[in-house]
Amino acid sequence: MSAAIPPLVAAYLRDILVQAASPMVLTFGPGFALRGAAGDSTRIGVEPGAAAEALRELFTGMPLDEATVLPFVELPGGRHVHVHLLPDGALFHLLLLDASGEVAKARPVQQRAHDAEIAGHEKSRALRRLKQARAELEAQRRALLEANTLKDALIATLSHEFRSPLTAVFGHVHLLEKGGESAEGRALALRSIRRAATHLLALSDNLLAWARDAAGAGVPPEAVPIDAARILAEVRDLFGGAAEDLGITFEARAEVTGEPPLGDPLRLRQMLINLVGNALRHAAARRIEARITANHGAVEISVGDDGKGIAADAQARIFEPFNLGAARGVRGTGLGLAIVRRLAREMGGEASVESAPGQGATFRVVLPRQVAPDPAAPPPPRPQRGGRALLADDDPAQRTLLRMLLQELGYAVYEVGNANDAVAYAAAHAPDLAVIDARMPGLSGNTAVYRLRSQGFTGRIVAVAGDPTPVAREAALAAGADAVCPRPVDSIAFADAVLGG
Amino acid sequence: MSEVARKICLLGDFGVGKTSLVARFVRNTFSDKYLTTVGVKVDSREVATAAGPRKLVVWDIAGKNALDSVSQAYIRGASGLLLVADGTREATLRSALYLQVQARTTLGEVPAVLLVNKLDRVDDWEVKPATIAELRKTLPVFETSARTGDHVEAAFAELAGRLPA
Repeated sequence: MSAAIPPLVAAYLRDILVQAASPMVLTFGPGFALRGAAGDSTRIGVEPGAAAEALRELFTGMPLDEATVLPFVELPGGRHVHVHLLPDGALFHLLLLDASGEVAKARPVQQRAHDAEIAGHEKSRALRRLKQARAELEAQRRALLEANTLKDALIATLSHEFRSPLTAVFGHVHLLEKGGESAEGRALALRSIRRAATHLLALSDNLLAWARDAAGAGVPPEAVPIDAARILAEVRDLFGGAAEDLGITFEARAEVTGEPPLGDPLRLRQMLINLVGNALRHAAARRIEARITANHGAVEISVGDDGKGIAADAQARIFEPFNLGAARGVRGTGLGLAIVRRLAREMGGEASVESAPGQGATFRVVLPRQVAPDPAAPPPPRPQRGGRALLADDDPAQRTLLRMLLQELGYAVYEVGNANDAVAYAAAHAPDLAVIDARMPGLSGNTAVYRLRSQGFTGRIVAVAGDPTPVAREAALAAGADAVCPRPVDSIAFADAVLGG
Repeated sequence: MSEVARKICLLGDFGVGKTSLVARFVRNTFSDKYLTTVGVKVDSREVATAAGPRKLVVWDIAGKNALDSVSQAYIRGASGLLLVADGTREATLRSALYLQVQARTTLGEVPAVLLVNKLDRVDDWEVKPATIAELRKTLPVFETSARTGDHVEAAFAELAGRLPA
């Protein structure tokens, strides 16, 4: 059973609480006119006049005839108060209770929690980037190792492959120069020289073909009528003598059904040379047969032998370059079969091998029917060139270079020296292309790219980056660039980036 | 009290830069140090609008991803909202949009402008440009940097121009 607190005790208690709270009370009339102030302003740290001004601003838009509590309001000067609005007829009172002590306790706790969450987010981002960078570095390391292995393999095989036939050539030439050889001996020497020269020719052709493709300088395949018998005759001329010297029966057949097929004679010839040369050198065969079969335009090239065959695991790698698929000690540059596969694919076909150890091997190239180009047909669409280009770079010299390159590509160029001008120009004129320096002082190029995209710019954007790291490239692409062109700018790479090549 | 004074509130998750945006707008200052806001801090600045000068009373409310009863009390009487997100933390964009929805229960439909802040760190942004382009269809969006001041003035001016007379 509880009884009411005696009035004396209640009054005593009220005095204690009021003294502890040190309230400040401001009384206002209509129009927020200050009518009076009571309490302790020193604890709040703001004089009644200044507090009234701050409170007028605080209650902008708010009803003044409803009891309201606004906790933890920071006053001018930095102190916090709880503000209580108490309507009182035509007047209202604003009771200010010091909250600085509570804020002093709460702030460090809140600060630590927020700092920890933000730091956790930053850490996650850093770890993601680290993981990405590590993966990219690992990929680069593997690529470098592979390139180094290829280089070593190429040098090792080339030194052997070129020196052996050259040694034979010099030896036989020396004998012929000395004279005294019989007619049969001279014929034998000449055949050996011819065989060595044929081998060297095939080697150099393959190396040049591979180098051309690596440099991107290959020409597209032709689609002209193919004389299969003639190609086979040329191959027989090249390899017939060598086969005879090795005691190998070499046969070549052409079977054409329907009109002569269309294709690229030079590529067909090179594929056959590589396949027959491969069989002669590696198969240890008694018989080799080369065949071109054409059936209403579709072409199949096959070179079969009855040699030692190829193990299944080696078959899977045999078309890889530089002997990577070959057994240790096997001769050759390791380019011949790789080139066969590449040429086949250039013509829309594929190369394959069927073999089993001890049962010979058959290499096949299957090419689809080629269609002659229609002279009346419109030319294929060329990459779009020209139009209006926005060029943003803070360096006038770089701008000049990029402007010239863009003009060579047929663009009318508008130049700006900073990112803000770039965004403004693009918003007003919607150019076809924007070339943006990724790192400009002030608002960065990536920021400009981001803002262009976020404002709905749909033209192509090329970021030109002085920083060649994958992270920088990713940042530009994430901002919305379609392509990133590294500095120093290479004209071909720049054209590819601009045209989307 | 000026008749053209209007209360506007900044709403957004913690650490998105609300206090820094106000400091840039009101005092043209910036501090690298992050100091969490407790409760609310009120500042003001006069801006020119097409309808004449207008005093913006800016409520910088402690960052939260949802409005509690205290925050609902803070926003009473607001004529407009500045929704603030941090471009480097995509979750804060969702928070800003959610806060706008919650604020409707107290304020009804009021003008709102979205500020996606920390443009100076665009390389770290998680918010995609396509997301911003999509949001622009429904409300004004400004990519801002309190650090450099980029588009801060424009964002406040945009809201000021949309406030009721």
